[in-house]
Amino acid sequence: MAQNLLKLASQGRAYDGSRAWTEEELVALITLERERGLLRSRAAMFVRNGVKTLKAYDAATEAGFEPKSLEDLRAEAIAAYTEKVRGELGLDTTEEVVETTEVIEPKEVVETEVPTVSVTDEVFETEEVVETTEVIEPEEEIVEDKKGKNKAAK
Amino acid sequence: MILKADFQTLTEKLNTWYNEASRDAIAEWVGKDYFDVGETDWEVYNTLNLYGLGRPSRVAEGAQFPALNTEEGDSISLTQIQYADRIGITKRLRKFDRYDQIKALVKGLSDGFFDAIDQSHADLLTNGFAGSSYTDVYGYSQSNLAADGVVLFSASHTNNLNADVFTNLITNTAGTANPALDRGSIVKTVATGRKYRDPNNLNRPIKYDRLLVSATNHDLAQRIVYSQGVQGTPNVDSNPLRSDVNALVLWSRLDEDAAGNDRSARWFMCDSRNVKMTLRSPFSQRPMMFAPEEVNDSKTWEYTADMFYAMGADHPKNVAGSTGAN
Repeated sequence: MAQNLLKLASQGRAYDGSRAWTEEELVALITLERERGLLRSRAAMFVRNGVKTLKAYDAATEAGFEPKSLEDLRAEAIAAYTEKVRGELGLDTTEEVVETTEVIEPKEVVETEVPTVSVTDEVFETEEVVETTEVIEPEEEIVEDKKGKNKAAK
Repeated sequence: MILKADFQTLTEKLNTWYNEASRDAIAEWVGKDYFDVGETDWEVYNTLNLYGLGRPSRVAEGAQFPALNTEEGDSISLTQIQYADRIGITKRLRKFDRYDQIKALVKGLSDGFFDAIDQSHADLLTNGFAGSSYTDVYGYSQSNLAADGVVLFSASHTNNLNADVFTNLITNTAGTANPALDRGSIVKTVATGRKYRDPNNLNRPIKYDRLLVSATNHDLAQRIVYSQGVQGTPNVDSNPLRSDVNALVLWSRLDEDAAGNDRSARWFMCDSRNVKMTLRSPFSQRPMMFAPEEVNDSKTWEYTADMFYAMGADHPKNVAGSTGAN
């Protein structure tokens, strides 16, 4: 695609980064801009949510409808597609919910990893003790045993 | 008999014939006059088309001068695509000195390239009225959107500065879009172009001085434009279209697109000064023929040819079109 649709979409001048407005959507966008004084990006949100006439727009605003952003719509579309694919694969969608909540648990583990820093400190401490004091002392004791009690007496 | 020792001589002859054929094909290549077919070294050819800057403002003494916004325009990116073909000079052709056939092969090779280029250019215009893409002469999808993301010929071309729109879809005197070729529609298109205002509300006249028609419409177009009086009427008014439209162009590839659809009713007008700012077709390599580098097992000397180019529509104001359906 030669056009920069991603940039145009961010300006409300294309549906999204993968396609342009259809003729019907473009007319609706311009009509909402002109007749209702909407900013183009705001008008684009309504059109992306299926509001394509002034009548539909008036009804939507009266009902307190808040159009979803492009990002929200994208997330919804991905979720819907994922659910569809899982359904086709025969996966139970209720189990997924349990699984996804379980996935959050490792984050808690990460939080508990903080004490592990002290664990490593302990390792260093034990190593130091073994190298310096405990290992040397037995050698001296052995020497004293072989050479007799005189040296020990000194 | 053409022997192996004659390879260089034959190659030189083929190059001569290829160049002669290309010269004739280029002369008939209408698209080059309306598309920017300049050469580029860029694999991805980027454009940024400014709509036009604003007017200067009145300033108080010592006040800072206002800055103009230079980031208003839309951009397109055209990626170079390679197209290639080859011909085989078989041993039979060489053994029996069939220069007549060899010459025809080379001419055919050249004609094929330039026909494809010109047809692809014509198809961008004839398929520029609906949807967002079409199947091009090579069988691949080609975008027919302009830089603003709207189909090339539309009454609702947008800009990124404000909510203004402009049209390059031809209407007749009654305001009906896509009229059949007639004098009133041409006159109205010329006037609409002159009144064009850019997003900053500056009047930047578009001089639609070229009329592009199919072979089917050519006679009618000639009578409309070149008639001394107003075509189709018994009055004695002179016909000022003869000066407004300074070239009537017969483009036979507008009659039918590569997919075989009848497009003969479609007609277009463009501003000869600026149309190449709208219709872009940069070449990184014009059609070129190359001699074989190694001998094939079949003893056929295979001459190859290829080219690199891309095509797309930029800011669409400099060309207007009608399907001729109404």
